[in-house]
Amino acid sequence: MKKEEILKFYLNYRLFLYPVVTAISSLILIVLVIYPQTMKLLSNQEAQQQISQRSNFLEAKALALENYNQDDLNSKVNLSLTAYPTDKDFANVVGILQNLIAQSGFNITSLSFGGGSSKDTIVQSYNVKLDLVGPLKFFHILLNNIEHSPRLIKVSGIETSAGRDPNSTNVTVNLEVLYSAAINNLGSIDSPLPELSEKDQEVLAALKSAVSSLPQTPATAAASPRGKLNPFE
Amino acid sequence: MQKLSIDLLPAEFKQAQSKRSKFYKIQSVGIAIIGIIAFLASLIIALRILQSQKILRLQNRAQEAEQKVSSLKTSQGYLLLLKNRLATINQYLGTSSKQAQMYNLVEKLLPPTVSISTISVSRNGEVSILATGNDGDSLDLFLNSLQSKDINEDKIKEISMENLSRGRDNLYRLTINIKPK
Repeated sequence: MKKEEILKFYLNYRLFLYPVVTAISSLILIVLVIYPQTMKLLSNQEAQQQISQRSNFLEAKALALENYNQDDLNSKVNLSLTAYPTDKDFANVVGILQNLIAQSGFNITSLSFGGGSSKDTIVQSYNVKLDLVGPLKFFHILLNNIEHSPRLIKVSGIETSAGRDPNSTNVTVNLEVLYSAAINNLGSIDSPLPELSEKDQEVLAALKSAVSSLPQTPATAAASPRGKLNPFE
Repeated sequence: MQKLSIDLLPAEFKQAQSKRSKFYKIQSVGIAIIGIIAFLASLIIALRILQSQKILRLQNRAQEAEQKVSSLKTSQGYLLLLKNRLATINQYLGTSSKQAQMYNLVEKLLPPTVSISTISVSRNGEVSILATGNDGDSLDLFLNSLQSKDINEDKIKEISMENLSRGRDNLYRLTINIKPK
């Protein structure tokens, strides 16, 4: 009975009911499926591009890192740390200065270390005061040798007083020896990889030649027995 | 010969027929609209599935590359350290300090007949000289050279003469202070 009534109602009003039902179902499809999925598609398009870019960047970075020779990189790092270490290197500086001073024909009468200073936020330094005796005519060579040495040393003060003998002038040189603490941030996975520029390669080559021009001294003294083998003999 | 056409159908029947044909039209248009919308919905879902698969593939690729970079982190650290050191080394290596430059300049401009008894170059590059000479002309030449912008390489800002005397030994003694630029 009820079914017949519904059928009758539909047959009477189907001209209006059919378009309304079509419109509602289309609207439901648009609101629940097409619109959200299209929005998601568009937003994922951006995400896809970002992931693609990151993936390409990481692949290029991995390839660039693989191309670096680890031994070569180690030797370059060691070279740079010899010139500009992470901490105060008194022994190394004494050795270098002794060589440079001897090469310039001077003798050291005293050598003392002073307090450090911070040139700026990155570069730190400690002072070395040198009292020397030698020929004044070679002093400019000594200055040049010091400032072109493979260790970063800057001249911060000079005092000379000529004696009667021109070959034994008293010279006092104040030096600033530069060093800097190692960087804490060694880069994240997504950080860009720095490249060694031509200028960097030139600096490394200059450092290498400066280091090789210095006479090689053994890093540690050979251990040898001292005194009598048997003290009770 | 003319044809005769007589419409004998009842008016109610004709009305019902026209209603039916109208409904069929609306029905076909409605079916077409729903069909198009269903097709669009399925197309978008298919595209979304394809996109998800592609994103998943890209994520896997990125993850692999990430692992590769992680395994080479030591090299990256070394490279950053090297670059950091070289930036400062490049700034200082082989460059003369102001003190050395001033000393070399004074030595270069010193006439052969004038000798320096004491010279001191301070931390800010100021130079104090006690020079001795047999004749006043040489000292004059020395002072002029220090003052001339062309000769002093434009490195000197100011020269002040502290003392000039002539001793019993006929030697001129000149004390000057030089301020660098």
